[in-house]
Amino acid sequence: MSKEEIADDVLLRMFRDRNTRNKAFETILDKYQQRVYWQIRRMVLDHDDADDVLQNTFIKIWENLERFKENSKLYTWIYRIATNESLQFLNRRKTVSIDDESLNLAEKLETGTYFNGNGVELKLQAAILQLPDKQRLVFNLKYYDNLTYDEMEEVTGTSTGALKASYHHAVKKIEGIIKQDLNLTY
Amino acid sequence: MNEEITYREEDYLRSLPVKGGFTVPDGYFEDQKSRLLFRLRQEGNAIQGLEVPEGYFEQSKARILKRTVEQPKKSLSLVNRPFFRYAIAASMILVSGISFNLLRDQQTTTQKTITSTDVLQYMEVNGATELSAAELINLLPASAVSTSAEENYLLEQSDNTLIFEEL
Repeated sequence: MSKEEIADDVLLRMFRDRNTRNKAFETILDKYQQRVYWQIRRMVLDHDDADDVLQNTFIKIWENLERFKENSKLYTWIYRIATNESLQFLNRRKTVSIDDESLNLAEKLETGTYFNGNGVELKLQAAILQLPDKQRLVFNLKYYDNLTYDEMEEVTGTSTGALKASYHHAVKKIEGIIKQDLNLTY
Repeated sequence: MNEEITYREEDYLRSLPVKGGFTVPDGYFEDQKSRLLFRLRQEGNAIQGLEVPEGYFEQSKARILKRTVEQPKKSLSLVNRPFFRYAIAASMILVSGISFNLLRDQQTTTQKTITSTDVLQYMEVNGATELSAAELINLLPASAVSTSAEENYLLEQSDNTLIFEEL
């Protein structure tokens, strides 16, 4: 059985046992690190920023996992921490330069070392960037992570109805932005 | 480089021939989509256009482990434990309070035990009798000698004409 296949409840039991705690955490890291990284990266865009947020996320997981009550699935709890860390990071940056935030992110996307997308992909990302942070989060969780609305509700603490509305608005806005930008008519 | 796959599952599904006499098992496309999504997630290729430096995830994992599981456990010494700190603070307040009260009692005791009579007796014993009673009394602060003490002393010394003369 590979590390990724070990069930979360088993990992949690291992983590609560002092003798197997370190091994359990390493396995959780192997299992979720990349998924969490991409979730964060889509929010903060820049690789170095994503790396900082990822480190903080897993340190918080390490510090709080013992108190995890299992009211939700482990990975939605992890997503939730990553989401909070990402939003906090974006908020902190906005306090430094509130007006230029979207511009900064778009510039980072275009000039970023670790972006190899083509024109269409760049336009899509630029359109996503024009969404408010929380709407962007909802769009990313649904579109890229393919989470169900129930899972998204656990991650964001927002009701399914509100999430559906938010996703619908996000898609409409992105569609409008891209149509306008490409001057396409359907 | 760990690169993003540049097509989405919908594009992939659309590229498949829709008809032409062939059929597929029930739920095939849903299953295919799930498997494809799972594979994309497993490979960490969930976002278009973005990539990470080579070997990044291994390095990142090592750094996280260094800051968590490999971090030496903070052994809180007894004095650093919150309960112990409160206990120390409470003890200090208690000791200060007791000391203050003891000191105050001691001072009170001193004031109580040294009366004007004692002073006069002390001076008498130590040859201070050359001073008149009135002089002696004048030398003492008013608070230190009570009126009754003065009167008692004078009555005791009533045979001393000099005193009466001077008074």
